Amino acid sequence: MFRERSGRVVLRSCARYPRAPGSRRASWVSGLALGGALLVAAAAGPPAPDREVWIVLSENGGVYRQVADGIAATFAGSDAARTTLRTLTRDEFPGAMAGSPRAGLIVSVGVDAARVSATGQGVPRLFTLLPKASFDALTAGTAGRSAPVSAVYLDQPPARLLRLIRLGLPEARRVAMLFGPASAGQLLDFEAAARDQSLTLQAVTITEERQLFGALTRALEGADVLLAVPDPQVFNRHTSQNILLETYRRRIPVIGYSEAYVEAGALLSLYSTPEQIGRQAGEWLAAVGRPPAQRLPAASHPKYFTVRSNRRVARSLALELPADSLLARRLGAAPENMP
Amino acid sequence: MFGTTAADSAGRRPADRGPGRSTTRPGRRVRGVDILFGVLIVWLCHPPAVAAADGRQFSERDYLADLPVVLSATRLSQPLSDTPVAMTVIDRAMIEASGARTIPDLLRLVPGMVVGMQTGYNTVASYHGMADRAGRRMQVLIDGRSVYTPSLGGVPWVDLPLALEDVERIEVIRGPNAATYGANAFLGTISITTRHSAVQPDEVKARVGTHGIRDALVRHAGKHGSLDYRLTAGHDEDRGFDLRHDTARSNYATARGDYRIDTYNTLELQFGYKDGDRQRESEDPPWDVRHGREIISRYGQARWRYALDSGNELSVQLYHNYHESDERYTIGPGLPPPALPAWQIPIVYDVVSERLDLELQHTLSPTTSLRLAWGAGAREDRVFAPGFFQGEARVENDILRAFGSAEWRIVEPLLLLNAGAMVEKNDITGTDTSPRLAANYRLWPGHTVRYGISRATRNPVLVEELGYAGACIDPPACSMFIPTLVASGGLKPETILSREIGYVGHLAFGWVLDMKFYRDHIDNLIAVTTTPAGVEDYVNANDALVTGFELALDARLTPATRAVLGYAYADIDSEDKLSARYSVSMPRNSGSLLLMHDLSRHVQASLAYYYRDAMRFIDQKALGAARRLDLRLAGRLPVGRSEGEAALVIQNALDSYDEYYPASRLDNQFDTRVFVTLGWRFY
Repeated sequence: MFRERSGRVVLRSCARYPRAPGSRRASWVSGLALGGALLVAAAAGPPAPDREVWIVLSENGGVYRQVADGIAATFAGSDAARTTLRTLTRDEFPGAMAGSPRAGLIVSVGVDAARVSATGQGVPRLFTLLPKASFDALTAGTAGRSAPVSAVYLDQPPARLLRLIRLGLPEARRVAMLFGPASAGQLLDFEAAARDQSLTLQAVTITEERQLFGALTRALEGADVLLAVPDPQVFNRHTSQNILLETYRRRIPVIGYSEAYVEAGALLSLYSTPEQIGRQAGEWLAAVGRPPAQRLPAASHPKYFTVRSNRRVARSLALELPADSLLARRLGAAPENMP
Repeated sequence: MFGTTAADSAGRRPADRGPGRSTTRPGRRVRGVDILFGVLIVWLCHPPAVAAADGRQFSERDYLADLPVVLSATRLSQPLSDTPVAMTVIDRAMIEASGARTIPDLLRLVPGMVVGMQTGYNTVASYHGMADRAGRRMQVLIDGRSVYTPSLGGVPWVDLPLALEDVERIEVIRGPNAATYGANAFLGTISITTRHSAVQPDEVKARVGTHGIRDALVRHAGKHGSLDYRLTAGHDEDRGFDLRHDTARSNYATARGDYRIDTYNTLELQFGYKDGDRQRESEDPPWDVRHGREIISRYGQARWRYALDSGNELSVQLYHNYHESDERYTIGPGLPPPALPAWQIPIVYDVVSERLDLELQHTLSPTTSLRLAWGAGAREDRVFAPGFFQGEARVENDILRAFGSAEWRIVEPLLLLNAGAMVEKNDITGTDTSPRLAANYRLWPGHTVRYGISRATRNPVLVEELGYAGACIDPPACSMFIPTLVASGGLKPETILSREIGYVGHLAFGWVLDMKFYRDHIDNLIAVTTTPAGVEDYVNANDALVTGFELALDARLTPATRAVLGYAYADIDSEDKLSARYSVSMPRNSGSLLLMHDLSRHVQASLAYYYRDAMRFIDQKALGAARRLDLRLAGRLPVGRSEGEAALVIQNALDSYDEYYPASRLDNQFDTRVFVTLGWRFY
């Protein structure tokens, strides 16, 4: 844009001043000067990058690396060439903040990285790979801060989960759910989403793991399916055994939240892989970089997701499920209400 | 059940052991192996480190954490449409609604199963009949542990340390399937699965009723770090049939621990003990002396599972069964003990059976359409029963087996091919192979047709091959021994070749229909023959052709009502040599209907109706047709995190009918029994 403007100025100035008799030599010199200026402008190349984007990982490797790779891959395919990506671990972050160049935008991967980079001093921030509850906790009480923050959550939107139940288990009417202290905040969202899908939610909330078995028994009474959302007290490594055994005993399928859960025995899982989270973050970053300068979209649930089923469990429960890809397509095609 | 076979088959004069014969008896001491299992459970209840709940904050780790495979290939029950042999599943809801107190009572709900109470506590259950009081032709497994007795055959149901409240489900395989269930899966298999410790509540329960019914149970289930455990103890007793001397009383305790070592490895430990006394009387004068039998039964079992993913699992199982039965009394011409005139004969009937079994099994899914299971096992059966094996301190039978099966979805989802075989080598009959093959074809979604062919063998039990019993005329010197049973040995195994065409349909409204037509050729059936001198022997004598039709329907009539219907039609064609009347050992028509209805959220009513045509047990006279109606009304009362339950059960609200013996022979009339159960569960 600057280049355009400067060019126009030169030409306009040329047009304003017609050649005077006897100034043929003067116009040749100005033509050369113009050409030289243009050449210099061209040879200067694109203007220096106007920002660095830092990707802060909670840990070096594993799923965090996968998110960073997802961002980088999406970025490479975009035209946001004036941005460089710099990946660092959360240990390196404080040192980097003290040095230069400064970050134009900080992307954190995971809750630990988010916590470390929360004191980002006015730099726009994008939190990825964390639950909505963690994001809300981190940004609570910081309303009105100078720099914008946004997030790509790990949790699926309640509407999508309930719609999956509708599509995969068309005869199900009653959905059992268990909430714990960390997930209790989502109860109302799930109730609303269930109503939209003409399903009844049967939810029980507990405060400590000890109450789990009794709560599970009550929640499963007359239920057609159990929808699991993670919570350290309710759905975790230790309790997954109880829950899967008890639901299987009652022939009630479980909708899980990760690939591991469906391998463990859930009938279906709806989840976003680290690469998918990275892809969405990369797209957002690329969009922000293009003119006109844009703000980060508001924090939202992931756009890309995977549906996976456990065919052995499906056969054992005598359930005929549509193919995973078909379920995913029909879920993606349905209009999303992204909060 | 235990001693009566001997009383009959060993003839009228049971053996006398007398002093001076080798009497080293294994097993009076508690076996070290069982103690080891018990100690392991107790030790694991106090693990050094306790994995407390995570105090860290909610994060992405909760989403992305590795989870152990829980519903692994072996834990998932096979859907009915995929089974190679027809199967009936009795689930928890059916167990409770039926009002049954014992497992054989529950088996009446299986189409084609013949069940008879030979005494108040000895019940025979055999698929397609062909049973005497021992019911030797069935395999019975509890969590993979085989519980039929190697000495005389059959299953001592009342002696098994197992509370019905701890049973998760019972799968009855209606046909031979040795590749999956091992040796003796001849006419069929009864596979009992107990509930995982993690899903059991604390419970107290008491039952009181007519006929001296007094049962009690207490259970505690807990969790200690990665160990879930359950401890159950109980008592059961009743007076049996009104006019018979068949009271039974038992005390039992069982323990189960499910220990999760890490994401991939689990260890399951079980330990059980039961002791009790049973009143006995033999059936033939002048030997019908009333006496008692005491039993001790115990087991220890450990199973280690390595589940790599939901299709790949390796398991190693080790178990030890011990069963001891003691009967001592005196016989003489009409004079009961303690009077002891000169020529009264003291009878000692002690039988000790032990089994030690080690098995390895590997289940894997090399591709999504192929599932393989293979394994090997070694078993040692030992029996000490001088009353049946005169002169032998111990008789043994060692069995080695290897098995494999493959489930191949040739054309997903249309055609499933199921092939399997077991090769077994034992001391009595050498090496045998039991193959089976089945094809399941899906006509359209929810409707599957199955064609299967399966071959299996039943090896003779020890008494059939090695039995040697008789009486000493002049105890204790025993210079004159009169044999009453001399098993000549050299028996061939019984063989069955079963062919079936089946259909499984998932109909509208969630109804499930299961039908089968079958044709079974059974050869070399072993029967008792008597020489002119009155000495008995076991020989391969008979063949039988069993054909028939069976139907099972599980229908949800309304959201609150469920009906389970079973029906069987059977025709047995046999020459019935040596008075072994196989041809009438199964009723022509038989069936059952279990109806369960939720009157409200907390009150349930159910009824069970059973019918059978005339039949007879092999060694008995004919029984007429019989009908039975059981009724149950139960209510639950949730109070905070616990729940109370009360139930009233009426067994046989109709006229009395004859069990096992016709009234002309013995008074085994099952009249009406009523009992009330009160319990409380703590979650």
